Amino acid sequence: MNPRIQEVSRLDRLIHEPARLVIMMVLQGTGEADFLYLQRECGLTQGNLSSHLLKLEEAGYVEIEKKFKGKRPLTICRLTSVGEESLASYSRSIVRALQFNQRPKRP
Amino acid sequence: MNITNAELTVSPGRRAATYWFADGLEEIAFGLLFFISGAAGLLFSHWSHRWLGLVILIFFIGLWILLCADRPIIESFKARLTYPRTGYARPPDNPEPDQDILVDFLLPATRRRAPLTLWTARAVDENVTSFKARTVYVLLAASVATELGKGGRWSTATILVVTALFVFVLNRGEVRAYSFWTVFPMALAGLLSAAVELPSQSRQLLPLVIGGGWLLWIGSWTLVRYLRAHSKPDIGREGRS
Repeated sequence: MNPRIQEVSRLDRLIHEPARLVIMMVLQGTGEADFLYLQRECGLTQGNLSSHLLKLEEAGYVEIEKKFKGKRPLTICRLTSVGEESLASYSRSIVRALQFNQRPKRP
Repeated sequence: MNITNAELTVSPGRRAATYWFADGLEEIAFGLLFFISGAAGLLFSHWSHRWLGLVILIFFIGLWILLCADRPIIESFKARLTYPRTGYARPPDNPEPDQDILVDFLLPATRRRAPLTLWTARAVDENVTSFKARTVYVLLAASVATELGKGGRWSTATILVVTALFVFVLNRGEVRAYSFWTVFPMALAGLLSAAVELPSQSRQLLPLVIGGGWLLWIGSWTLVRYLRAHSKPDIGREGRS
């Protein structure tokens, strides 16, 4: 099998799940966000978002912190350095695989 | 999953930066400072010149505070108003100063970055705004230009029209873009101001009054629309993870 095709089978399955990929992309772009913002941006239900965040937190990709903005408590989520590296590595792998899959243009 | 939210053309970083302006509070803050200072200056320039210096001093102190600490000040309001309704996202930074300043200033952000940036670089760099450089400083520059023009009737009107055009052009494609019809009232007010009899010293304050009033109007309109679109949250809506 072509090594680039093989690379697809080695993709990080934790990130490969669409909802978790979107969560990580939003967190990477935003820097940090709370639960409500993530829910709105990702279009996920509260339960779905909770379970996906839990999995990402267990893998060490996301850290969740309870803090206050003014007097209001917020559940702040942000990518860890491990999460950022994993997302970057995943992105490189999938872009390489998709580039390989493109057919050359006919003259 | 609602895929309409995952707009591929707008990166999450730019969406977060746009979100900072969703409630109009940033514009209201600068608009209030400009408008109140300008209006007070206009009033005192007619009434008593003795207080004019104090008004100018208060304006510059307020401006310095807002330029240095606008994020924490506005965040304290957002914590009560915005975050409970639509959530918290990290406020945008100012752009990195190491970029080519002229290119950065003239080109809208959408044309400066390749779409694949999201995949190859730290997309968090997209959570930036140059609102101050493209709007606040342009309005300040208009005030300085009016001073240099010695508050002439037509020079002030021209400066305000040019300022409106600059604000429109410089913010195209930015996270806080203004349509032509949004900046048109500022240009119109500038032209109409030429018909009003004012001493040149008072006319020099018009960019602050008109520019500040314009910002205040835009911010308030945005805030009203935001509050109408997003009702008060239910108790216990704050997510748990």
